[in-house]
Amino acid sequence: MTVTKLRYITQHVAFLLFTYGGFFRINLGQSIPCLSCPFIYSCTGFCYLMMLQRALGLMFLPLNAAFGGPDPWFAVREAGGQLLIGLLIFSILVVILGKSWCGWLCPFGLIQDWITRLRRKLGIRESEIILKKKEKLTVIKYILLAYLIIMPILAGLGVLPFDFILAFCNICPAKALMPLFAGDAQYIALDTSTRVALGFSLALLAITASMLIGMFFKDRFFCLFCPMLALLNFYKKLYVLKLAKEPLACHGCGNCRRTCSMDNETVYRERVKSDVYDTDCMGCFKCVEGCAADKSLQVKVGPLKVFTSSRRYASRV
Amino acid sequence: MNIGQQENRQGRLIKKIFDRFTDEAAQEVNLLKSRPDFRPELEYFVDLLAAGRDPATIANRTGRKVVALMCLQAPLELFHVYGLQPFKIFGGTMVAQRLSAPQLPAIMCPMLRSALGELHLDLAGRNGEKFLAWVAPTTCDWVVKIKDMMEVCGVKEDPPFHRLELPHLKDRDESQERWLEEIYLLKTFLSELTGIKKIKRQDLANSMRLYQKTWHVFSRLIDLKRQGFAPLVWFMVITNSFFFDDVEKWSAAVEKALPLFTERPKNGPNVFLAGSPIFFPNLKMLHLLEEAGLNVVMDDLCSSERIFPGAVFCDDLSEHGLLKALAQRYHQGCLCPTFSDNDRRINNIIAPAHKDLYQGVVFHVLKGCHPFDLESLTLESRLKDLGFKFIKLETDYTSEDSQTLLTRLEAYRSSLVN
Repeated sequence: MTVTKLRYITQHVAFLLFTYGGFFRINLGQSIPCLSCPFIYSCTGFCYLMMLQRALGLMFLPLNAAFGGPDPWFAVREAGGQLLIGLLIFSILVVILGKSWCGWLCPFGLIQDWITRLRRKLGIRESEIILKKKEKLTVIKYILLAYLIIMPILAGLGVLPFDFILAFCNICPAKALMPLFAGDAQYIALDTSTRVALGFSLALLAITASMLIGMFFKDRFFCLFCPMLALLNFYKKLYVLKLAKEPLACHGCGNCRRTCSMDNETVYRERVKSDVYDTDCMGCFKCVEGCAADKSLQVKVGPLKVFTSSRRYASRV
Repeated sequence: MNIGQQENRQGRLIKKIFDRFTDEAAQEVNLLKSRPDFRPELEYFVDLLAAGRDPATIANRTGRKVVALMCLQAPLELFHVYGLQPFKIFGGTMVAQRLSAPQLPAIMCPMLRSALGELHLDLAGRNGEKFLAWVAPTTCDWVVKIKDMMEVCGVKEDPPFHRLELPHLKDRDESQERWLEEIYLLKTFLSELTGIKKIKRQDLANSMRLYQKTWHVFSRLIDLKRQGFAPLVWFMVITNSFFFDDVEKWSAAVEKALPLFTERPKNGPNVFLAGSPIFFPNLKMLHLLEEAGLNVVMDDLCSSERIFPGAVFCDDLSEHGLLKALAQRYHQGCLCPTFSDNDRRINNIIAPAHKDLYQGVVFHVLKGCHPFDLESLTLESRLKDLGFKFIKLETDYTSEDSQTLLTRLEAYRSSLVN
């Protein structure tokens, strides 16, 4: 079995687990480092981004002049505890699997891969326009990360309406698309309850439509903007799972660059350093599979080599 | 001397050299077949080489029309999908040079001098049977000027001639884009040549899969050579014959031959053979290496391990995606010294996975083969800095220097052993 097949199977198992596990009373908590969307009523666990936003918002609630109650600091204790425990669990999971959350487990990533497969079946080429603008686009995910941290705080403080507590979730295309797999279409309908809700609802539909078009013409299009990938980058030096290159073994054939869904060039370009875990890498390791130079690329767990590139493996049909 | 007398004289010379050419090939065939490690499974490859490169014979054998190819950068899969058999022009005979030498520069690649001479012989021997077309990627200076040289030498090949402008910088994206344009132009050329207006992307993908499968089998043979089981002489007979038959038949024959290589022939030191290509029947250098007791376990010759590029990994199955993958693999992945930014070529020699396999590097240069000659200077200095023992052997298409080369190789062997 090839690594790609193994990954594809793992992605499907993860998709089923994260999307329908709730039917079987499975609860994996609120610190999952991938887009396992909490808006699916049968979900097994929450994407950490939602928990982060909510906890941040609640943390600043006591400073909100409009907030009253018998124990205003209760929310701080609750949210602070949630934030710390959530962060700890999230950190442990990220350190163990690194970016592989994105490539192997993220259900929204799998949806993007399905769309890519459909495009390939139809024989439509991948757009290269985005590739040329990639460096500029890749900054957006850091802006979105800042947005998802700042907006809930401002909402907690009462500067912005309370809907901004989940500022990112309200515009995340996973919110619109993932619940559809559980038969729930409410998030693709306009929410006219308030002006803010309507605004978010319109923004969500526009973003989802643009993302669907982007995802059709470009592999893993949404991942270019995903703030989870930006968040995971802060742990880069702590990852147990590593992608290493022996630059002297590289012939420069370009298989790694061509097969990368994220269009990363680090693996191909690097000629000195061993660490080639690009900030935009999603840990699928297709580059290692496609590398036709013996022992040029390696996936390591700590010091242990778990998968090494080889001429023979790359030439399998 | 009038034109008629000149033509008669040339005709007599062609006939005389044709006889000697046949003898030269037959001698090498006899030498190969009388080796103690010759087995019936290897006869297929020897016979392919012995039968010569007459386009009509190859066309009958493969069921495809034959296109002459001057260098290996043009994607073979593209020819295959248009129902054509690409045939790389190598020249290996010493005597054939005599037909082209008087018109050509004194210091010139002997392989092309021989190839041009062989073209005279082929044309004489095959009653004017010609290649369907010529495709020449602009690699080294000799290949760039091949059409002019053909005219100067009086080789009357006049089928369509298509040049592929090869960017000599591999790592620039602009070069990649330029090369992809050339691949599209080649596709158009082949389309006009065959009258096939449109190819199906599935057919192209299937051709790529076929070559990938062949590469997989060939990889196993490479591994046997790395381990010292497959002697270089047989390895190169197999690779030299690659273009003479249908790729599937060749691949099946290689698979059949793989179980033969189960014994290490000698206990001599292992070496890496780098440099200019070696082609049948001029296998002089291979015999000398064996005689000197050196086991070649790796090489980077374009007539041997690099006879066709390795795995083309591609998951964009649109026609553009497939062509882009082919273009990049045949350009970026090529280790030919004609490229300007080619330090990764040296990586193939000094890669950690390889360097423990051998004790020294033998660099073979044909006189007049300038890219390899120039490259040997930087390669020697880098390899010596890294502690490799390096020897450069310059030779020509002649047997007169055999004894000198052998003496140098034996001295080199002693330096490796001690």
